Amino acid sequence: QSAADNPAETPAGSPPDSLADSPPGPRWIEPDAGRLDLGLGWEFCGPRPSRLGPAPAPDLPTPTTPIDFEAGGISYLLDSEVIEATGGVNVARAGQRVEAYRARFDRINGDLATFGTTFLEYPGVRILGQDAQLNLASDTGRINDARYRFSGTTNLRGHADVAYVDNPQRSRYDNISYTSCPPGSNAWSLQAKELTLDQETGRGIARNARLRIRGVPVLYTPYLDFPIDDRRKSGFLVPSIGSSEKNGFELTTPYYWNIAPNMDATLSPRYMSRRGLMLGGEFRWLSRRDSGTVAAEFMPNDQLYDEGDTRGAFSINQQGRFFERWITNLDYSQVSDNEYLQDLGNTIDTTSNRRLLQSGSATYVGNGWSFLTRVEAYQTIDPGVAPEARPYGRLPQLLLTLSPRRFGPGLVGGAEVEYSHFDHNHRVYGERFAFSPNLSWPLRRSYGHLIPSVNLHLTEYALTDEAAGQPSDPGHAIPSFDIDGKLVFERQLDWLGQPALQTLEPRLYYLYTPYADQDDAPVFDSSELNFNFSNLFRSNRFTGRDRIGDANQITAALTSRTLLSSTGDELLRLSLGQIFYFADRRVQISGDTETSDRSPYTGELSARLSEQWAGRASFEWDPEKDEEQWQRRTLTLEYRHPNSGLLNLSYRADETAAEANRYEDTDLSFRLPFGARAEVVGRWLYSLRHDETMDAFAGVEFGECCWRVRVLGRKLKRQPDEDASSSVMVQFELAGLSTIGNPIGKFLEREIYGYQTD
Amino acid sequence: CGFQLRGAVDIPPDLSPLYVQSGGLVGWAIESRLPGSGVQTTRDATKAGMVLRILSESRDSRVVALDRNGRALAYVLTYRVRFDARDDQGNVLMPPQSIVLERTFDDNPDVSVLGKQEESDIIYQDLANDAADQVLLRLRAALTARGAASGRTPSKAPGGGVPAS
Repeated sequence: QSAADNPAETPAGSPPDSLADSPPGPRWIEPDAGRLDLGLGWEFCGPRPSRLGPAPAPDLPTPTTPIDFEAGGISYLLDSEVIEATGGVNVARAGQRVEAYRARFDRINGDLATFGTTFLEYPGVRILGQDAQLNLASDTGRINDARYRFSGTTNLRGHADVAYVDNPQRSRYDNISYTSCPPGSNAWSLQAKELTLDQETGRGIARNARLRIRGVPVLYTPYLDFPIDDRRKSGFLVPSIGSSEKNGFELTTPYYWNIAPNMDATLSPRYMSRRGLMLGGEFRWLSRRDSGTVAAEFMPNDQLYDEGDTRGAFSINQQGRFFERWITNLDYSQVSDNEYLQDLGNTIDTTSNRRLLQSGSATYVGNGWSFLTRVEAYQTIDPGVAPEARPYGRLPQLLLTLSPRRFGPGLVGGAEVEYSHFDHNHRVYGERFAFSPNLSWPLRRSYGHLIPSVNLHLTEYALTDEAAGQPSDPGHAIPSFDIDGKLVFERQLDWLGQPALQTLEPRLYYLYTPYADQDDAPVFDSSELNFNFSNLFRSNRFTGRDRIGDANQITAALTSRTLLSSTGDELLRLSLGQIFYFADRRVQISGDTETSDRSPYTGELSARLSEQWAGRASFEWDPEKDEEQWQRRTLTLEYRHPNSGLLNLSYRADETAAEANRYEDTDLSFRLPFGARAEVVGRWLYSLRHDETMDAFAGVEFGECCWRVRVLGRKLKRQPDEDASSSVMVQFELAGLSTIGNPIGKFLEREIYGYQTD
Repeated sequence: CGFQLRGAVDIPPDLSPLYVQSGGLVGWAIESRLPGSGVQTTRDATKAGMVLRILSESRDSRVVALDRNGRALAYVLTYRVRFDARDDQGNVLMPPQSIVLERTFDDNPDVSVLGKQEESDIIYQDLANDAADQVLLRLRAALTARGAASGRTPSKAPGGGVPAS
């Protein structure tokens, strides 16, 4: 055994031990293919899965690491400093290894030639081939008839006629086959005339490449650039292919552009055979001060729309915090036409939109106060909304908020001062000034609270285009008084063998607001609050400042919770309440005075039935009605399994709105894994009232470690007087050939509550 | 039937005062519930004996009911808060955990859009108030468990002096 502990860059240093001193070499075992995978697993295919930042680059061996040289027998030619070694040669340097039966090493220039079967190992790469020519000084070399194996940041394997090592990080191959499938599987492979794998940049670049699936060539490309680890980098994302009734054949090939660590963009060309080409793009940024997204879509000529009209969409979303105290917010969306989202949107959340918000605001946060400036308008895209019924814009809104402040004997006071200019093309518009101070005296104890408070609503208008005979400067000053009292009782309880705490929380809420005639005032931002449990304790039954409801009423309510003693987790909550009226409610936005002396009952229930199951319900029940006593009702059941299986089932109905706006819908969504390699997903949103499917899809995902297929079929109600239109989408993913990113996964996260992409 | 008024119990002096680390709705709701409860609070993190951290707060909405024309009539608004609590030595009192709450929001197209927008803000505020109650109940349970472990179990009633909502 001879050891030459010399730095690699000075191979011409002191001579090695003489051959005579060497003991016999190690027993030589010819390396075979098994050596490539020895001690390595194949837990993942292609790049190591991770979502946490950039993958660590492999350690570079330091050039000064000493070289170990072992051989069965060595002859040393003193005059040329060439070592001839045979009988099993093992050259090792930190993280690197060369094994062959016979080798010649030139100590002057560092050349190492091996003869016959040769095994090379670098950090993350193993190569088995024939007749290597290496240079240990420059870490370069080549080897013929090479089988190789990548591990560490990526799992890859294959064979090449010639492999070149440019440095321990970069290797090149001639006539190569390449796959991320585990040994024994040939589900797919890439055959290329030339391939470069660069671990430093994390890229693979292939030229004249053919993709083979189960040995059959399916695709040729002159150039292919793909990632070999999980670092964020530019490249094509998984394309998706589809077909739909409305758009015909569809192909989307998104390209991801990693501009900077805090900035990226995705370009998504989308071809639709019946419409033409659409170009979509999204740009995101993140800085110490702000973050945001700009997205746009552009269709130069849509052949299905208005004889080839240009269509498009634009949106920007930004949140910022500047100079410690300024908060900015921009939320602006616009589309070219009313049907744009219905024709081209992919989720029910987009196609069902009635309007798009266009708003920007800046807030200064002081100590105990804040000042908001906002401009806000809407693009109405529902043609069913009459021009007069379109939303008002606020151009601008100025709002000064004095946060609740404690003073004196436990008093808390605050106020809001607001100026707004409400804008509308088809209705009365104008300015509104409002001042609303409030004062309360909260008494809080461990066993409950008692909170009396007074509010004052001062509102003045300056109006234009008001109806004939109406004053242009109405106003009102309305005081309001309420008192909120609650007690909490509790007791110990045994809940299915676990110690629990059960509470009883009775609550009374009295509200008095004198009547003031507000018929002269316009309705800019007021609407009636839905009747539900939380709204039983509200001092105004309207939102906004245009209507202050007259009231002389008391709410009686009871809540009971059951809590797990060990953690305080809520196992069960039940709430029930009702309002008793001592006076008619004359102030209304539309309709007549309400005269009933009690409200419907309203309640909520939420229960954790087990680790996996949870249920919720809420209702509004009016026993004084002859029919449709259950006015509003929701029922939800949720199942969550630790292995990512889930199910949501819900039922929701509202019988209180105008005929066209009532609904009764069921919604089912699920994700069911089948073994480790397949799963089924789906959603079905059905309108019982119209006996019609509004949104339904079913998908299946299956595959092995190195390939996945996702197929998704759906029906989505897009247009009035038309049934839901159907579409199919397919996505193939070959691990190790495309950049991470999965549009179907994003779609599922949107549509299936609780779904998370792995 | 065994019910009695919820008792107030001393917080171990080494955990007082409480510092609530948050800039959002639920943090405000928690702070407004604490005065009068016997829990001392501080605005200075360095003086805290116990820190309740709101790690994240997020809201989301999804369409759940449609009219005949395929336009939205109702949404579900979801509010999610993640939090934990530690003492001043960094020891975990409550490990990171989440509360997710949701409520149906009817978007009646006939009424003032600005008014409806305010209603959705009110709902998120309600959900934050609900979440604040649940966070405090969990904190109370954690402190009770800690008190039991260190032999400081209060004699009157269980609880850590954290108030009802």
